[in-house]
Amino acid sequence: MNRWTLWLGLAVSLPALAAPRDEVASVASSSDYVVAREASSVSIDTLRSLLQDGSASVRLTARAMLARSEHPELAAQIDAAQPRLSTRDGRPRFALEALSRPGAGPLVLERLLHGGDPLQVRLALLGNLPAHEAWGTWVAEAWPFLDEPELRATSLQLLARTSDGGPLLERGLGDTAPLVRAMAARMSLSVTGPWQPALLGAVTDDSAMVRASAVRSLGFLGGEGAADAVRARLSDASAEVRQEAVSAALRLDPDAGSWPELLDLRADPDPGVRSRVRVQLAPP
Amino acid sequence: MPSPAEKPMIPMRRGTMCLLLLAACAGPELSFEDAPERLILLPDADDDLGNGKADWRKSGGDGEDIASLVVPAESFRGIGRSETLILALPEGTRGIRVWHEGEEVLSGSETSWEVAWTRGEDLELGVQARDPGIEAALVLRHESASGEVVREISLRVSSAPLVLAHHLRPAEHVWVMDVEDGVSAYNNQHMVSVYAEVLGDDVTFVDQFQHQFDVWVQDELQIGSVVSEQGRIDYVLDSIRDGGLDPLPKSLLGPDVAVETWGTQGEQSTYDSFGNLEVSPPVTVDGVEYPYGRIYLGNRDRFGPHSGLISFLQEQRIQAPIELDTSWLCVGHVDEYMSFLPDPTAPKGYRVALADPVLGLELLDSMDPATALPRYARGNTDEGHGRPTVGSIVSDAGFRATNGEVVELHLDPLRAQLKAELGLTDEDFISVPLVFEEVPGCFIESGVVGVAAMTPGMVNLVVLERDGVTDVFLADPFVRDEDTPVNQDADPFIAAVRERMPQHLQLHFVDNWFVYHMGLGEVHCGTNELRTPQSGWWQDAAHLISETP
Repeated sequence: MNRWTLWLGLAVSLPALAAPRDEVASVASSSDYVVAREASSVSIDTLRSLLQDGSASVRLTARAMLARSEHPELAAQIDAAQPRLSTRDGRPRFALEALSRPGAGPLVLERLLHGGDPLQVRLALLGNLPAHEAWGTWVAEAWPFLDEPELRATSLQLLARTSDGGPLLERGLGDTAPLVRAMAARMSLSVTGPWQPALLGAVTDDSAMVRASAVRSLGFLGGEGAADAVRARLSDASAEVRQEAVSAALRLDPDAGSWPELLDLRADPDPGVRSRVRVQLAPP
Repeated sequence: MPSPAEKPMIPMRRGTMCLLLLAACAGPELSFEDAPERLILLPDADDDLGNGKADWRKSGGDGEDIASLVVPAESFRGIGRSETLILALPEGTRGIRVWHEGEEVLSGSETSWEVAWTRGEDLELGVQARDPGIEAALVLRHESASGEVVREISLRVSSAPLVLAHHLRPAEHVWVMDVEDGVSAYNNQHMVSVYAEVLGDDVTFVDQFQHQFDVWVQDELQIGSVVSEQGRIDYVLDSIRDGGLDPLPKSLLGPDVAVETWGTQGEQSTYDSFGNLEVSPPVTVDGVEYPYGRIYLGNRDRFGPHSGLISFLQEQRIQAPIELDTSWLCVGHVDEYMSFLPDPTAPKGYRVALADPVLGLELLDSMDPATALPRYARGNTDEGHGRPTVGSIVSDAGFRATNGEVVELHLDPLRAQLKAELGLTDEDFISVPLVFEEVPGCFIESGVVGVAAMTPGMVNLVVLERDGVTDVFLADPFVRDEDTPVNQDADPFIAAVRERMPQHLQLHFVDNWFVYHMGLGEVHCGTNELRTPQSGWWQDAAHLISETP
């Protein structure tokens, strides 16, 4: 085979190889995902091969399209499912066995990402993902597409239900949304890993919510530098942080109850801080 | 549901009484020489007329709960031709009407009436109240031609207060939610079957399909009673939460059953649910006796039950409400962490079952970490907690931290508050093992996550005393290697509860996992009760209402 024959062969075969992958990528990024998906004619074998694709969005889409091909009835059920129920505090709840059936996971995630549901319904869908063993991997893949901070924060909360949440927690600690960073700091107590250095950094985060969570977790985790970092937050501008610093300080150092800056908080302008000092210094 | 005619309310026909007891029919007398200390009315908020509306709205002066009042003929002696006799309600009086010969002569808009009296004839009046707990004055005044007061007498008019029944009162009827779709694990059929077996005909099962899958029957309505010497009206508070169960309280309106909503619909929060409105048994606080107990309800800073409801409850006065912090709970209801139970061996005759995470953790720590927990193993939030073994719970430092904070920051201060405001002592409390978890997706406010029971909340229980037998229905905690409600004796949480509970109680641990526990509620949330009210508040609680507000 001379080089011209090789080039000719590639020119003929490349579109055939590249087109289905591009098509799935195009579905994944389509503004009307459902229409694009329905128009797609990618074969099952190709979809299977795309489960190892380098792009997370292609993998997610291929997995969902594959599940749809393999379980059409289940897909229809999940598409049509409505959260008829509500939790006692009024959040929507599916309580639908189909969502935890084998094969349902990619379809639940697909609806979460592309279903156009309100946030509370998407949170209910997210809560159903951990019925499936690989949910952590899927959520890590979907992380950039979880557009609402509440979705990412709730994903982190669910890490208490898995033993390998480290990579996701790490992403959470560096997230752009304060709610997510705060939740990551909070969940560092439940996910095994060397989180203390990151928490020491988070106590000076721009967001009070993040500082409060980091201070709280440091109070339980301890370690070198924790007491000093927490002590410094007793004079934080945020009352929420000062409250957490009171509790954390007393956990880290039994003598913290005699620190002047902690005792000064008995006269803090914020009633929540005063109350926290009173409760925490009360004899058992 | 029973039809209105079958509703298990005590029939008390005031009109019939009036016919049988002619003396009573005439009503008390109001003259310048003498007046009763007080005229006590039943609020005319029920539907004796059977027209689908509260009689107050439609009665036209002929409702059975309109009290007779007679101004005897001798009161008119000495009134000159140019002088007048005035009957008046003070400005601002609301919810009281006076009728004469079928005409409304005094009301909120008409506060003064020149009496149309006839020499030698008694003047017969009807006095009607709209709501429970109204305090007003009715003034009879003889005025000279120049408008000077010649004689005057004032009669205190009270409508009987609403009394909410506490858990120690005998149960007359019970409503239990019946959830079953025939195919999935999402049902409460074990709970239903236990109730049916124990209660027989004294229970009404409420169909979820007829109520848009709203299963929170405790939260939609609260049933109390209004009692006077003339009889009893059962008074249903209809929550402004207005879920699919909203038609249920409304359907109860009928003879001797009032249904009212307090608060503004559309302004509801979780705190307006009636699992967040409970009543203690009789208490004495700083020397003040509350023979009907005190209402307790949960709030969060400036958030809480609607101010309209709180004002109404405060106006009833004999169960002076206290507010407890439920801000840390995802749902935020007081029935999530405490309940009262009868105990004849206790100094006060009752105990308080209070959630105890310390005990819960001790019990979990004492178990083999490898113990499988099938009910907790399912990972999705609709079905389980993603905790396949005891070890997967107790090894989670975040979980332990959460429970430590619940105790330190919330339950210990709450216990101190209960001692101060309900006059309780340490020996009045029973510890019930319960551990909490942060609820995924439950963001109470910026960055704050609410907690709920991880082990089914056995304090969220129902006490039913009937014919001297006291049954208690509470959640099966499933802290054992079982996926069905069997082998309960092997459950350390159940054993701990059995050991601590008063021994005369018949405990029924029911499977409420999928419908209630995973929906952030328990047995109490799926049940409602009508209880026999205490009577005689005008005697034993007079000290609480002696001052006109």
